[in-house]
Amino acid sequence: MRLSKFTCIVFLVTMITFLRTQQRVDAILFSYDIKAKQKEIEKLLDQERDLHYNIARLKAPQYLECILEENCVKMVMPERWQLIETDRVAKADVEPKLVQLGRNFAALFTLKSEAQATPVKKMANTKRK
Amino acid sequence: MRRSNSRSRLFIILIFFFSVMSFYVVRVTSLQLFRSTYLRILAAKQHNILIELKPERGDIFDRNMRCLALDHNVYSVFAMPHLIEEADKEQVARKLAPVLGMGKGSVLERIKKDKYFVWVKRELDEKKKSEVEALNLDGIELMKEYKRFYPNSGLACHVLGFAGLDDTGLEGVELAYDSYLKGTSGWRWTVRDAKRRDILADDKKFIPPSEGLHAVLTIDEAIQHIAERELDAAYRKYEAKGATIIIMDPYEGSILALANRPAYDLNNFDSSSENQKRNRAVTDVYEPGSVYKIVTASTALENKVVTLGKVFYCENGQYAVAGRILHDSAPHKDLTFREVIEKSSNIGTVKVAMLIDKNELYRYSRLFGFGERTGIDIPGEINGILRPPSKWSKTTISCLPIGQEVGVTSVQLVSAIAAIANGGYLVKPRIVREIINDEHDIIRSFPPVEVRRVISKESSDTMKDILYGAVEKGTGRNAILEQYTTAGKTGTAQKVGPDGRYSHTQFVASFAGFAPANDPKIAIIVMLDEPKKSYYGGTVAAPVFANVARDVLRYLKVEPDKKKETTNL
Repeated sequence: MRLSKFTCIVFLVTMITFLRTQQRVDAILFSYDIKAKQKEIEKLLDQERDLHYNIARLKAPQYLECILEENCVKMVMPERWQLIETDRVAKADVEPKLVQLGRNFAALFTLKSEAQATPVKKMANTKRK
Repeated sequence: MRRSNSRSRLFIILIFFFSVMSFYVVRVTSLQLFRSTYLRILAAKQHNILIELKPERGDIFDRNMRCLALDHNVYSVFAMPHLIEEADKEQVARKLAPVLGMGKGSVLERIKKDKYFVWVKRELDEKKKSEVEALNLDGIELMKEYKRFYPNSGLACHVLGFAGLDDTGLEGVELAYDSYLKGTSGWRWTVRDAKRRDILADDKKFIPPSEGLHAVLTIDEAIQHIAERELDAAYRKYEAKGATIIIMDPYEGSILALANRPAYDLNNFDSSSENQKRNRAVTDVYEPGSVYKIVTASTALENKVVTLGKVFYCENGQYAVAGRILHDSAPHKDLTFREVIEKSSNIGTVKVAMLIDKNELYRYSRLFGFGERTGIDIPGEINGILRPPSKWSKTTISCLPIGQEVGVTSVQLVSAIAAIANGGYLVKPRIVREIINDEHDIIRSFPPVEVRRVISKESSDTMKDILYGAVEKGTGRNAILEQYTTAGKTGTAQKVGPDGRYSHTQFVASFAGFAPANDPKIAIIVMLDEPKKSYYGGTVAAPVFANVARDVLRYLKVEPDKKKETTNL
């Protein structure tokens, strides 16, 4: 009886120690996995940074001018007579007020779906990170 | 007999085990009692590690959020000499040297140092990093760092400045706003295993780095490019010693472009000279010459000692006054006050100045901002030179009105011309508009600052009218634009030679003006130091003004104001 009690205690202590060790090993293995993932993320962020840098370089005015010169493309600002003022064109396209009123009145009697999704105005993503 | 033999054998085994156990007990006891502290420290040194987490330096954007400076990854190789076996050091140096492009002796010298940490080579690119990693050398490690890169190379180099090896600002905006841009380092106190891998599960302390904030400038990348392109062409054409151009919003004081020549490549600043790095726009003082006549004329108008039609006899181009002989570039007889400025007559201007109290001339010079810093937010700005009347010599009254015996910086001149353009207010020039974080929230903004009123609205309007005439009918004809009205003043100043006399071969050519003359959108100063072939402000600097103003106004979509022939403003 005495021996079995001693054995039980030893067994219990061994099991607890084993579980604790196993837990530590698992935690360390997990941390290796996390570290590997972190490295992967860092690599992707580095690539993103590289791309941002390259885009900025490609957009640099001197670079663009050099490319245009190399390809013998001469950019010239348009003269005033070459410009069409868009607001004037837009005004010409505007429907007469009476036609608009009639259209709005007719719209009151047309069937519509009960719920309409409101289009969300997507903000231009200017954030870098 | 056999039983006694087995007992003795058992006894020997027991003795053996007892001896071994005793040895271990003694050893463990001695280690625990006498060497435990030392060993604990040694183990902690090997396992515990404090890692500095460097923050990413903030980016610099132009006014349209186009990136002008950003951090880029580089890798630095460091050695931990205590982890390299003494016998292996020679071999490590032999393998590492060719990859790093260094001499074997140089590498060996570093890894033989009696230090815990030694840099071997800083700032390697991705390819070199992979090569070093492939060597898999004990005690040789790589650290990721950030290096500053400038996508536009040399564009706006004197505005941006540069950041050094440790990502610390050394010049320009990089230096002036370093406290915002650099961020704060973080720390991680962690444990490493035998293979020197971090064990995140055993992290003891983690303080994340606080990333640097971003600066948004008032500079416009496209306008800066236009300004640099035209300045560069003139600098080369006239083989000038130096050149400066500043474009400013006259109402807000926002600097849209600032460029100097010679310039340098920001990505390779190590190989450039101090002369190239100098921001002449704020550090160089020169006598402005005739451009300063805008101050004299404004003072005369404010003091109501002249009217536009008042006639001055200009002595046929030669006039002895205050112990010196004054000359005009062309002989004139009777000129009205308006014509005196339009034709840039030195004699006429001095005669105008003689009607003004000298204290008033000094006071207005100060009001226009001469003799003191403008407060522009880039380092190195100087006061310029403006002596108080108590220190004037006999000749000062014949010199100061025509821009001699006064030292100005280009940024002071552009502020002064902007004060005339905007209706009479001196505004503080500014380079940085706001500081933002990663989410583009404004952390701090730098709004326009109106320093003081310099001249009245009426005087400002009259001066605009005169300066419009100076371009249309006077010395600044080369600044005329086809579609926009322009106003401005030319300057051709003799430089003081080594003998203390005015040189007849060295000049400073300048043009300060604004456009459109009726409703100014930009104020510009163009200055070329010691141009060759030609040296007149109207010939050398005015065409630069015209080319820049034409393209910038079109870029800003300013409606042309020369729809019909404008004769009166």
